[in-house]
Amino acid sequence: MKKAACAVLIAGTLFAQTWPTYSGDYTGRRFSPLKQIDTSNVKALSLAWIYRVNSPGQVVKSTPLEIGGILYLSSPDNVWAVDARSGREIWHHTHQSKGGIHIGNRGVAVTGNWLYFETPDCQLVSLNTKDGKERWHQSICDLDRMYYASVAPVIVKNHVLVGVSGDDLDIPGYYESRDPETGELQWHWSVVPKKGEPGFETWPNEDAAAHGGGMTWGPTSYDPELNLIYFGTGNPQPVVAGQGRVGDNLYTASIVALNADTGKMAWYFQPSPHDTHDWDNVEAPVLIDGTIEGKPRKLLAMACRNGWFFVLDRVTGKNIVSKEYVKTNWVKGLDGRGQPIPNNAKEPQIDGSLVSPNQGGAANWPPPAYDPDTGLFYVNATRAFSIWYLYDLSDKPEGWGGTDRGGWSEAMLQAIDYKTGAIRWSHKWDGGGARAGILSTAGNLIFTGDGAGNFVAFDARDGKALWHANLASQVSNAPIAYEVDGSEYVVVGAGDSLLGFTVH
Amino acid sequence: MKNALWCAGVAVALCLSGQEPAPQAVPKKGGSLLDQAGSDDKHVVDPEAAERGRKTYIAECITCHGSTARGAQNGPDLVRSLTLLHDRYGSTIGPFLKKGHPTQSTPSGDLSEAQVKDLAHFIHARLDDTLRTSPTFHAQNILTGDARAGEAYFNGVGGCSGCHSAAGDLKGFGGKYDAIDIQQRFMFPRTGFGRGHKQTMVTVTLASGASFTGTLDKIDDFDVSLRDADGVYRSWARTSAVTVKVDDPFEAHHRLLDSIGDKNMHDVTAYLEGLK
Repeated sequence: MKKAACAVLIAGTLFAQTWPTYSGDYTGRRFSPLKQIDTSNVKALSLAWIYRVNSPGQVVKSTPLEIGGILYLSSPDNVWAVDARSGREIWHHTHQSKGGIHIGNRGVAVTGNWLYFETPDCQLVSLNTKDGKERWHQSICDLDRMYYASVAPVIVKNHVLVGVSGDDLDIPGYYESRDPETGELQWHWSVVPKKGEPGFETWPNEDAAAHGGGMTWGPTSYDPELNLIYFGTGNPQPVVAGQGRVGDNLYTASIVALNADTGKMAWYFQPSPHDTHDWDNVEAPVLIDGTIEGKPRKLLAMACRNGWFFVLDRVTGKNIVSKEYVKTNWVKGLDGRGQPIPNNAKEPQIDGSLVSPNQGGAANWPPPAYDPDTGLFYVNATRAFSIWYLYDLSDKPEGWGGTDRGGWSEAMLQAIDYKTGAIRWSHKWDGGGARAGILSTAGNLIFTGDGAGNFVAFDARDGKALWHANLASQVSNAPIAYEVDGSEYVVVGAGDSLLGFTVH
Repeated sequence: MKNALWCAGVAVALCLSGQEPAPQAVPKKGGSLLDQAGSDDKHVVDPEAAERGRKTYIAECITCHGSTARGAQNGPDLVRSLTLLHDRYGSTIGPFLKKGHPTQSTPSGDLSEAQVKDLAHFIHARLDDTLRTSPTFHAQNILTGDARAGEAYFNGVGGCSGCHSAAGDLKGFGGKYDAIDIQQRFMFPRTGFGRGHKQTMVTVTLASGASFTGTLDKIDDFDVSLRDADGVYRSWARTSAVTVKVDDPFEAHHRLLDSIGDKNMHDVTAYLEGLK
């Protein structure tokens, strides 16, 4: 069973009818090879079922997995198994929480008969997929330091890969591999280097580094041929008042590649050196097997919270494209590695500095998608301004020490040519943007949502809206596609509901 | 502020019960995200106990650990120490002090259990000071701009005088608001502190030539709705046969965002603040 699951994940398209891991496969593309629903018949897409999570205050932000006709979805402290044909609940597991920030849960991981999820009170929990009964739980972070856990774990070989969250007490970020059978630690990678390690020179002292942040709350991609995992790291801490951590603050706000078996770092690229705007760089790393100047290349693309789109060689980390995907005002140039050089004047100021994007960023956790047929990278983007104020003027600020206020924003769906970073088409959302992820399919379709509660299908090639339905609540996760009994389903979360659509 | 209110609420509860708060005394699943941070049984500061603890802190700790307990030349940061972060009402600070403290001037045995608890409250209060919603965090001096330069921008390239005047709609403006409110109001009139009162208007023209104008109710990519002068609600699907023209009264402010720059923003803030 374990081998079969791996085959699904590695081949990506081998068992195209499933959605067995957070991003659909290891590439992070969120591209379904299904094409029963396409541009010619999407107008006939209709509701097949609705599942309400029936738990007060819960919002479906997680990407469900679909394995063997069963959907597995989550919210903080909750996991549900739901029949993928009918939307009927099979079981519901509730975790007895001891605290932590309940902002969201991105999803679960499954291998064989076992399911894994993280909880706000810092536990990695393993359940039996048959009945949702707990097998074990293991602590993966310290609740007293205001860590919490929200990431969708990813299974790679015999590793359960987990990240952590927390932005309040100047705590160091890290990323771990855990044993699928026991939850025991296999390896631990510290985002911030210790004295004597490469990168430490980008911190002023050991104390600043030891409290330097860099949470690992985004998705992980994996290249089995290279045996490298890829993920982004969060903002440095203290979050806004950066005068006590002068330097680039490696490896916060970075994209990193680690050996899947050892956790040893192969390379890094830092989109936001010395971040002071809460721009976690934890957006999805999308692996593209593409062509640059006529040569086949193994690439990694990311549309970052700071408003910039990067394409890297995922073997070496060398930069190929650095380009804004919305207009920003905080960069004064690029360094020799293709990394932005921040304009110091746009750091938070006592009397305020007007910065674009705002704290929420040009993109955030909702995942983008990539369609290999169009060669386009799709991301829901926000162009926003806010004014950043520095509150804590001391030499040793702690916590946030400032914030941004106010704002104006506009939202759009951007289709980006990965070879150049050029915007091939752009759809401005007249109803505002939503925290909605994106699904691409081989039916030449893009599925996502807007701020008015519309779930929309676009022609992936030109951005023409072909179908929509208003779901009353905004799309709150990234849609998925799968096939059961010969029918393709598109499933999306909106508020407290999961909705299944198909063409009859 | 939320923390302060939260603590005040707990203090009231303490007075009523006459006891230390039970570990699960404070419901945490609701409220702000920051209220949820940490363990459900985390230390909840009693402000009165923290004030008593301040005396002990000044006598015993301040020389090495500094006035904010964030550390000084001779002593480490206490609010980021694991001893404090795992502490509940002296549960780890007490044993630590009892065991012996390398630079302690007063033998640890001289601190009573009550003094240790009060000291724990004081240091946990300093930890709370570092949280992002702490009342210790607030804007400092916003008025750094040149008011005369701001006036020139207002009447010149900024184009503000096309709609506003110091003697007209902005008369006394500077006396009504704090400087930071003024800055937010003119930079973000719709979503800032201003929360602009002006309505967005919309005109919908049909293929027949019929036209409807009113206050914009809702618009997205597929539908538009308005209320006309009589308050009647009307809506249309946005087909190719329907033309929609939105008139946003704050459009000129939005356009400024790309061009104004920080200096002009500060100068205009100073100018507007002076309109009293």
